[in-house]
Amino acid sequence: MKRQEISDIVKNSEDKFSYQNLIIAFIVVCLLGLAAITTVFNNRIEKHDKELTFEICTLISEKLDSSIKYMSDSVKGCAAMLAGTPIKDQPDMMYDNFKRGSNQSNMISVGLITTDGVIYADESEKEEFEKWDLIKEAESEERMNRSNGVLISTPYRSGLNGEMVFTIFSGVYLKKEKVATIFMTFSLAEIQEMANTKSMGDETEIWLMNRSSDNFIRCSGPDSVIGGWSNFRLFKDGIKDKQDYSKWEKSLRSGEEFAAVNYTLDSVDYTQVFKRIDYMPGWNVVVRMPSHSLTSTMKPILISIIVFALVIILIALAMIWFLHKRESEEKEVFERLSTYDPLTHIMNRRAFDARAQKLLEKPKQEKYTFMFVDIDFFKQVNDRYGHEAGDRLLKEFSIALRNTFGRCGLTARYGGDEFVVLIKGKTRSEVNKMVDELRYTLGRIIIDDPQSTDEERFHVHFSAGIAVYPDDARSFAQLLRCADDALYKVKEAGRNGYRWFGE
Amino acid sequence: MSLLKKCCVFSAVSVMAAASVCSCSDKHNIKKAEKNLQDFVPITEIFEDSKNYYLIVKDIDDQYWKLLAKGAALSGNELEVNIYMSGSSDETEIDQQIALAEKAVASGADGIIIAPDDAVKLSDCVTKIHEAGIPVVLADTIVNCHDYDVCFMTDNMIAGREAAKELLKDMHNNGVSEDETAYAAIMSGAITVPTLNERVAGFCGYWAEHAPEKWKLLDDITKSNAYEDALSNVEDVLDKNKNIKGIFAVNYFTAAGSAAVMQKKKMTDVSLVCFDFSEEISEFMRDPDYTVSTILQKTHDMGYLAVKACDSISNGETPERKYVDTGIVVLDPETRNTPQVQEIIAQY
Repeated sequence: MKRQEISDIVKNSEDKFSYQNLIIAFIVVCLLGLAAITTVFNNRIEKHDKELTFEICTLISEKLDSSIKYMSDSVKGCAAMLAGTPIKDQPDMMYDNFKRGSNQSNMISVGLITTDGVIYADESEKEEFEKWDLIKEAESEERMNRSNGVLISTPYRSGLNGEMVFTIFSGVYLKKEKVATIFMTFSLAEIQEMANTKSMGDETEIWLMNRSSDNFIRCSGPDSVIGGWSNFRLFKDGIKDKQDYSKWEKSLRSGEEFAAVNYTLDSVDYTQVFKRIDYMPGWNVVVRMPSHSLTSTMKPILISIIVFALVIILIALAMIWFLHKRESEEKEVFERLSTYDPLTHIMNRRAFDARAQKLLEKPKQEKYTFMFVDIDFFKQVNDRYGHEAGDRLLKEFSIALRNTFGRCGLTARYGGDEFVVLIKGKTRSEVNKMVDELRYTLGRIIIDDPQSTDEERFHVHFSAGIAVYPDDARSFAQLLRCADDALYKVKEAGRNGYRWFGE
Repeated sequence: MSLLKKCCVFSAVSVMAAASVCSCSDKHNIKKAEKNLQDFVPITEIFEDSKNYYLIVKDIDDQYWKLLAKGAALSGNELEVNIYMSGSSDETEIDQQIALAEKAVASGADGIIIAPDDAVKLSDCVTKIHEAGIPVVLADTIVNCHDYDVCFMTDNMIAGREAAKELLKDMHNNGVSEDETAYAAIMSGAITVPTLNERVAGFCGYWAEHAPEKWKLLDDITKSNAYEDALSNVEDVLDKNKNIKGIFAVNYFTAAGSAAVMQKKKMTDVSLVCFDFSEEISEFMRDPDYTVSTILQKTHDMGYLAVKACDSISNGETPERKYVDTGIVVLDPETRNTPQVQEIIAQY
């Protein structure tokens, strides 16, 4: 490979290297930016999640509390209504009236207990009451007064429909005298439906939790038996932030109205809120949500942003690549134009001077042979054979020059018919041999004119002046002068020859 | 085709492939489960031109389910109907139960009695049978839907309360003073099993209402699903907590594990209340130095009543109740010789 080509490749690869670095830097910056955006986004969402989860939990717990209050008020309303009926001494009629008058669509059953303890209800209900000791609970007037005039039973499974139900008791008073206790049994599903939040339905867990035992009953939640009983002690050993949870538990047990806690259980972050149910003494509604439930809602948005950013980055990369390609092509054209002679395709004077000067300025001094070459009587070629022939001669001369010296040096067209050669590290005899080779090669070039005889034909000769760096000169300018001086002497001696400076 | 078009087509094909894989995964699991299925076998005499009921239990080789099948067989023979029985190889093989239910429906079952492995995951399966017009009777475990005809099971909440009542009584009898600080430990199984959770809830509820102030429950509840786990968990709890005077062992493994550790450590001052009847517990109860009680479920009755109900529903009757608590009996030194307890022990 020729030296100039090698240096061109080196230059190109240097360009490519910087271009690759630029692309890598761009990608790194983009990815770092993207990572930073994602982290900031996630952090914001997590913070927002906790705040919003807390709000949602609070909202659901209040909704649940209100729905229990609504049911309790219905029972109290029925009790007040029955108190006004003139049949207080006929409990069976009172029961029938109550049964007929109450809207049974949203409840399982209704019944009445006289002050003597006689129960007017379905047989199955009576059995449930006995099994769960509910009558004893209902008779506690003190408890009833404490809980706004109603008593709500612990939820239990109804034999009638297999569902979890709860019974609300309320006293029927006539002139402050208790004449009976009525009760209505509701399905726990009623509360579940009221508390359900569609958007978060899959993630939100709602429990009714007993303050003293940690028992809870599930009203809604993912993959769990709705209406099933459990105890939070079963989960406690998996909680990471036990201190916070204990504080929350303490607030719950002490009967506070409301408290929230964040904790991690089995690698899931939860927000858990309790709210005291005033109508159900000893019971709280607890709402638990995994903190990631909102994050998961936001995840598609984040993914969309990331995909959009990646597409933008890819488009930007494609544009950079396209612009770079166009720029390199243009640069190559300009470089070629500024470095090479357009006719002979060897270096021009400006490029040669720059390159030669750079080589000679290297700290490690090497021996260079510089040669000025002039085509003898070139003007005659243009005059006799025309400019086309002159141009062809210049091209062939350049090819010969490059073929001879290209492997070991630089060749350039210095002016009209002036050429220069800078040879590295060759001895005088080697250079002489190469110059003779050149003379031989050029001797075979014939400027063709069909009408001219052999004597009339133009034979290509050249004159050359040679100087050696650093033997003859210490600078490039000096080297030029020395070679020019030697050339001058050749021309004076009749041309068609070469001479070393100082000979 | 342009690059953009290629990308669009590729994305669409990928999404469709993923969707089809997802929709097929359940069917794939059931197909896989079918390979390990145990065929239905008749557990009654074969009665020509009689109704065919299929009984699907949780763990086909377990003693508890064999007892339930015994009750079902007795009922089937009385009614002169055919009962075919199979079950999953263990309680986690939900897909096996689904495959068995499909097989029973395909065989033209006149009724299916099923003890669901999972209350949530078997719900759809139960609904499908019910929607096909086949009577569905649940035994031992309820499902998370209303599409069944009747359920016979122990109300585990009440059973848990009875266990607490028994432990409090045993601790008193074992000389634990109400003025001394004493702890009771609960040893449970997997928290994914609702029946166990309900027993724990019943126990804790009764304890909170009736236990002396100084008698407390250990805050954490250990969970063991194998005998070896139970052994190490019980030993660990007893080593770490010196004032333990009572243990409530919620399942078979923890009962057997607790008995073994108590015997090894000669902890005669600790009372044990557990669930169901096994060789280990029977052996342990014979030693008068230890205070042991167990809550016996009426498993035989569950099977017996489930078949009766299935037959009456199949004959067009509507059950009076949708949920029947078959009840429990406490086995302790005082009740050991009562006819009720003897009858249940004899069924094993």
